[in-house]
Amino acid sequence: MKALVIDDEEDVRFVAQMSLGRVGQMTVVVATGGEEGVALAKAEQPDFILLDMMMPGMDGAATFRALRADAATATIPVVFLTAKAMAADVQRLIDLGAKGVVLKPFNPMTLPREITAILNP
Amino acid sequence: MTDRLLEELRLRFRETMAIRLRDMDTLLATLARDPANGDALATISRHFHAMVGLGATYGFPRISELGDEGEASSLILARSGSPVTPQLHARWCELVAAASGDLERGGTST
Repeated sequence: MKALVIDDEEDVRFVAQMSLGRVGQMTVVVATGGEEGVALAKAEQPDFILLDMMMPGMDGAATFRALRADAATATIPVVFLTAKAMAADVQRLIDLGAKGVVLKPFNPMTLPREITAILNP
Repeated sequence: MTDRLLEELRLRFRETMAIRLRDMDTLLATLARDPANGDALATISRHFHAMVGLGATYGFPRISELGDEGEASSLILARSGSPVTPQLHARWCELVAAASGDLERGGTST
């Protein structure tokens, strides 16, 4: 399984990459922001995208809309990664087609299992 | 493998969070001189936000709690457009100092 992690925080990218790669045995590609993430999603065609909600510039909501607007990425499942305080905002995006939400802080030992459960309810 | 991975993550976090906390100290010094500095306020708010998301993820739950308090108060201030009050500045200094202490002690495993 191939994952694309989009997050502006290097420490989040690192722990997500280690968790999904080493615990979940996934191939992981990372992007530091929304624009790079959309481009990588087109090029890499990941099985899912783990997308941070709060990013400078193109934030998670705008990135999600850009992914959905492009036929090459429109059907890639998106799981939002967000702080508890923003979970209500993400619910609106789930209503628009996002697969689910992982709350930060998360447990790196169980993140792959949590995402698998979201992708295969 | 699990214990080894967790230890790797914690070691890295201690290094990167120490850098972040030093930057927060610098920002607090800026805000002490210029309480209305919007850039410094926005940056320290992002740091508090990062503490919330990263602390417990890396096995430092107290840092998440401290970041949560700092982020909430900084966001309220940013929305109001008010300068940082001396009381709030003092509290943020306490939060950063407490986070540094927790980092030095090695946090608490989740």
